[in-house]
Amino acid sequence: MDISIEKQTDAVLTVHLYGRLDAAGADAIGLKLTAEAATHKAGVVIDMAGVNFLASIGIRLLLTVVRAQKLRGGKVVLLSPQPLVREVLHATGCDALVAIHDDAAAARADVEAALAPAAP
Amino acid sequence: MTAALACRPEAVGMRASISLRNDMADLRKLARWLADEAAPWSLPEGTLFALDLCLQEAVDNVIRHGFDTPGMHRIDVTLIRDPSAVRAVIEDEGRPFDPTRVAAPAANRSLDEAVEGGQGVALIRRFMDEVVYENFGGRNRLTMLRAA
Repeated sequence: MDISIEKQTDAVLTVHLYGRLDAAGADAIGLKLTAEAATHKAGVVIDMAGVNFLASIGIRLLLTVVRAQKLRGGKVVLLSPQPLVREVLHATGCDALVAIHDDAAAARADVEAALAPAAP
Repeated sequence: MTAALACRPEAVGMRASISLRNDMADLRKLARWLADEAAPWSLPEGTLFALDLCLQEAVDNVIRHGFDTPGMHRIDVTLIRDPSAVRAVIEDEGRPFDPTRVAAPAANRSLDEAVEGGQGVALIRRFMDEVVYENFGGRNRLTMLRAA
């Protein structure tokens, strides 16, 4: 499993994941993912297009980041999961807990809107 | 005649087995083994994904929760390809555990609840067509069937 981080601004980043997000995959990327995407308030787009397998341990890792950003006032969205990975997200009810986008610009707009100060 | 039949796997059903240890590193071995063994079977992508997923979830569960005593324990996995279905059978001598009797997690769980886990059994139910648990002589046997 591989991970690369693309910082659009200080507060908005896209995390690209590649490979199998199973026990070994979660082990390989968990530390970097949480350090980059969960330790400060941010808008995070997790690009799932390169993920060809997702097990429950991977879901827990993703939801840990989602929860951390929710607590910090940030936001996480998922981008372009493959069909079978999407089925895993749906079967576990995760698609009700984190927004899923198929368009990168829409995904980024979603997290940016969440970071914007509330209108007076 | 018998020998000739035995040499043709398609005549007797195709079968493959592996023994794993109760070590998380063996989950990787399980995934590689499945990919290698199932490759010649030409399974649809969704069937292979479902087998991969449910084997990972079920064996992960046995490794994490199955054994009261420390030390090495064995987990046997067998894959059987019939004309109509693929069956994955997991056998171990751990604590009796029947995943078919575990209540499914509520559909509208909160983020806090979902982070705690419990999705494995839900995934097995969703991605398999039939799941049977048996316990005899102190051995757990979980059979998961997916129509091919």
